Amino acid sequence: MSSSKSSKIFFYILILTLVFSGLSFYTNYAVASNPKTIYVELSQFKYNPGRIIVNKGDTVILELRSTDVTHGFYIDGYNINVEAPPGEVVTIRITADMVGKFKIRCSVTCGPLHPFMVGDFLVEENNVNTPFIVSIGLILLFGIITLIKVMGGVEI
Amino acid sequence: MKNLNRWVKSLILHNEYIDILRVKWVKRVVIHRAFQWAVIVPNLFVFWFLITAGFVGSPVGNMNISITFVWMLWWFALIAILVPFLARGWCTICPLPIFGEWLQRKSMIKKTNYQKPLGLNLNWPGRFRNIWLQNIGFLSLASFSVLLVSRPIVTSLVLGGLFIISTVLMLFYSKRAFCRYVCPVGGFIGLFSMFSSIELRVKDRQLCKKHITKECIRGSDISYGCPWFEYPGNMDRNAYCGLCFECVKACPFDNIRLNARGFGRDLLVSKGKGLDEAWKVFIMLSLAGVYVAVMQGPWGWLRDWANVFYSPPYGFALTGLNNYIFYLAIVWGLSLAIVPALFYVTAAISKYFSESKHSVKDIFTGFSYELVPLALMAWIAFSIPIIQVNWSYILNTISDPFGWGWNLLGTKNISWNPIFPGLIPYEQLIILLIGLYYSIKTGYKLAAQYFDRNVVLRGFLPQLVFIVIASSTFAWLFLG
Repeated sequence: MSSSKSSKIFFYILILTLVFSGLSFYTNYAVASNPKTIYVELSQFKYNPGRIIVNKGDTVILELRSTDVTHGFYIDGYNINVEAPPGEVVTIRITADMVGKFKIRCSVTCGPLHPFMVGDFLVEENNVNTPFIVSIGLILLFGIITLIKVMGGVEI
Repeated sequence: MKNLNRWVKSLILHNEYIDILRVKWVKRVVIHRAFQWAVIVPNLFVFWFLITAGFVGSPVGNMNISITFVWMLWWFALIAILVPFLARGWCTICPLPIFGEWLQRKSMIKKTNYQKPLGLNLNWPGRFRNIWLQNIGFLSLASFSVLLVSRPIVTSLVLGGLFIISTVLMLFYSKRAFCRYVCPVGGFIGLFSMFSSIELRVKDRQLCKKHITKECIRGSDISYGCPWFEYPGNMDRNAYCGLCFECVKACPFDNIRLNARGFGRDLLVSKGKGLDEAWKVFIMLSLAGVYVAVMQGPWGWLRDWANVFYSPPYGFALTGLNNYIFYLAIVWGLSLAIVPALFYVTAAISKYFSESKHSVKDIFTGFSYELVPLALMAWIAFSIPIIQVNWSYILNTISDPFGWGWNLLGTKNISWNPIFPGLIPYEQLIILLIGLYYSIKTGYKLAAQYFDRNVVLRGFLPQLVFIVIASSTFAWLFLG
């Protein structure tokens, strides 16, 4: 395989990754199932549960309760940002319309490790984390193409 | 502009070296005796300001410039820009060893001709002429990383401590022994610099061989001998070139080039490889995973384990020692034992498949360098959200460096607002794929060096499996 041809393939894979990223990020959601309620405890510097796993299309009601100081509850990409003062229960309703892993972050300075107070909001498709599965596929595909490219270019 | 285009092209195609010193003003700048002084002194003031802020400012990390500048801005700039594109460019401007160097030379700028520098000028002990001290130093800092990157006073103590250690050591030992053998940051900068797209080399090695006086080592009336104990005439790797440009000043034949080049070339150089550097690779690869898990993962209990010495709201007290010991076992065990052991097994399988005459130890050491691109990209991927999510804290602290409520430049009240945070995992994946590409490329080329031509692929396959599994592990941390 010529160097320029394999470089092009390499470039196309990168583009494919970007397109895939965009598609998985913005695909429309399916019919929402019945709302389910999840209780989330917020404390320095963690969310409990740390991972909230739902299926695409699910509507979830999150009941947030801080046990120490005021914390924030921000979900990357979901335009959700609420404050949870200690002792109060704050309720938010989310429709999981985007697939993928979205970080939950504390948006209120709450202590030394505040920037590291994170959790996961994982939206799967039929209980499968599609972006992760595709990323493994991409790693394998990319690995094979790179190997072919390098084998073609190395003088042995 | 034309040179820039050529550099970008050479980065992609890996087919060209461009001598940056042919740009006249660049050369004029770097050969000026005041060059390093001029870039270090402003940095020195910034460092002292940051250290002061850590001591007197707010204990809230994201409200104190010592944390936002050092662990957000500097860290991102170092790992994502300086090291990949400028090798040890940071060492050119690093202020840590500067007091020691000024004292040794009894001068800040001018070349002095004292027969004996200030201090004992001892040779660095032979048994420590490797980077094991840097490996241990970095792991020690990593053991307290959660404390270090979140508590301004701890950051200031460490930076101040490094100033003192470097100065004292340089009064005992000659030249930049501290930078080359002790500095915990210098160890990984050196390792990752071998991947960098820039290199300082001689133009004509034969000329160096024939040249008797060797001012690049001994110094001249206008320059000092290489402070990093390097001889440019046989230098093949960036690992220990601090880019101080003393050799450019010294060479009477104008025989030094500063090449822009493709990424990762030094990783194929056999000379200089050793177990100390191999272990540095494993430490960096392992710690990238640990840091992502601890600082960006959903496992709050792991953060609790790492967050020893914490007393709310911003005090210090020894808590959770037992769990902290587990955490230390993870950090040190993964870096020094588990990942190297897995790679040793990989090397043994490679030897078995290839029927190579090289020992498993040789294959283990030699092939460890294939993991440098992946480790570097994992660190860059880890650093992406630091900036993309927390950029507003940097701007806030520019206006209010000590967290005292000032608003000097009107940026104090910019609200926390991450930039396209939903895209971060996919950006991390792309960066990871770049690391995968370079690791496979490096690994296969190493296989072509180590194995007979008919078994190169067979010998490389176990390495490929290791690289893919390591990449997949990071993909799981980012997207899983």
